[in-house]
Amino acid sequence: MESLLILGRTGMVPGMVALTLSPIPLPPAPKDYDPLPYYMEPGESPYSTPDIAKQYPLILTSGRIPYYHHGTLRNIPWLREMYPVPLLEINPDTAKTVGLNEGDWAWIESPRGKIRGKVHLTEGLHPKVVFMERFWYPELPGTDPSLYGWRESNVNILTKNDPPYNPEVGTYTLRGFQVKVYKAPEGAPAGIWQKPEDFKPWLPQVQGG
Amino acid sequence: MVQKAMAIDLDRCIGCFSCIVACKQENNVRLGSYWNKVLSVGPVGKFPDLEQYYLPVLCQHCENPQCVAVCPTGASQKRADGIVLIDKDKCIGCRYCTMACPYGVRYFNEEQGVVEKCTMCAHLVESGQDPACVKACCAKARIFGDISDPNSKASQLIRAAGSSSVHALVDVGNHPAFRYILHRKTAIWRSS
Repeated sequence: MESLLILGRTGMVPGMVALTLSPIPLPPAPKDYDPLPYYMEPGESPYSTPDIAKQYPLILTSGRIPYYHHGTLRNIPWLREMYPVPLLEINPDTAKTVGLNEGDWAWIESPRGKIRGKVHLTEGLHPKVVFMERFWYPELPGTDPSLYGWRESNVNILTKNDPPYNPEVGTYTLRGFQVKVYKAPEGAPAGIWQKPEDFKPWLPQVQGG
Repeated sequence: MVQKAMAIDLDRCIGCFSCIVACKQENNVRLGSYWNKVLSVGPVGKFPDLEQYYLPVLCQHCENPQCVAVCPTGASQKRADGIVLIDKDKCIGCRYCTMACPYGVRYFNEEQGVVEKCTMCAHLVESGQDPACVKACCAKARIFGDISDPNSKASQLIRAAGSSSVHALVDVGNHPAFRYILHRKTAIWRSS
């Protein structure tokens, strides 16, 4: 974070000396930035963009599930058999209004694109909010048209990449934007791995007997 | 009498599923089989007033194991230390035991034609170690020991929790040896 702040305040890459050292002396960060967390209405929301929200009534937030943290670890067969495909988490009352049931495949569509996820009903979400893991690449060939499946279930297809940007580090809206969800009668993306035994190629191999 | 078992503190379990993976790695458990699995109980209620707990389910190494009683070849046996084990050389794969088990924790290995389940990592226990799931638990929610010994750590934890917060899976005469600790402040126990 410190190195990103230095980059933002000086326009220079601090890595020349050391990652956390500024090339020029700087006053404390609170001189340029609010030192406390603050609320800012998202650039796309039922309040900021009511017209978009009429067509895309749900708010999507994304995040991480604990056993796929950081490195994502999608090549560990014992993790994948537990969570083989990306889940769209949705409140049961909301799911009912759009005709989705547990285990259905659904399209999740924002003004920028659409992807597929498998429905998981949970009371753990506000009825107006849905959740998906941040990105996902199913096991599909690297050739056209699938290109490792990067468009199938990737939340980054949906994210909003125009202003407002985060003033501290310049990120765009990765979480908190409008979507609509509806049943995908065609089901899962064709050819993806779903069953426990599908992940057999990733089991550890005994080396040299 | 010795009864090796676990006291599993559900107030501490965060549902990271490390124990599931540690078990599969240690015992080379087949894809699709879970000698140790973790169920999510809930969330129950209406948003935002919810409660939830995670329930590890594995062989309960029962005091009166029905899997042992129905086994026609003596492959399933209860050892002197309380651990229930399957002798794969004697197992004929009839699967009576999988039907007799009230918890669905016995799995048929199609490649070998035998039934498998949690061994409480007997190979580790015999060298003085804890089972793999216990070692992997980052929340220290699993305490392994002799629960017939009032001085074991497992027995002490159970005593300290208070009887109204100590639970067991449903008992149909098999007398499961494992105990689960769940206080009302975390959630209502819903797994009997």
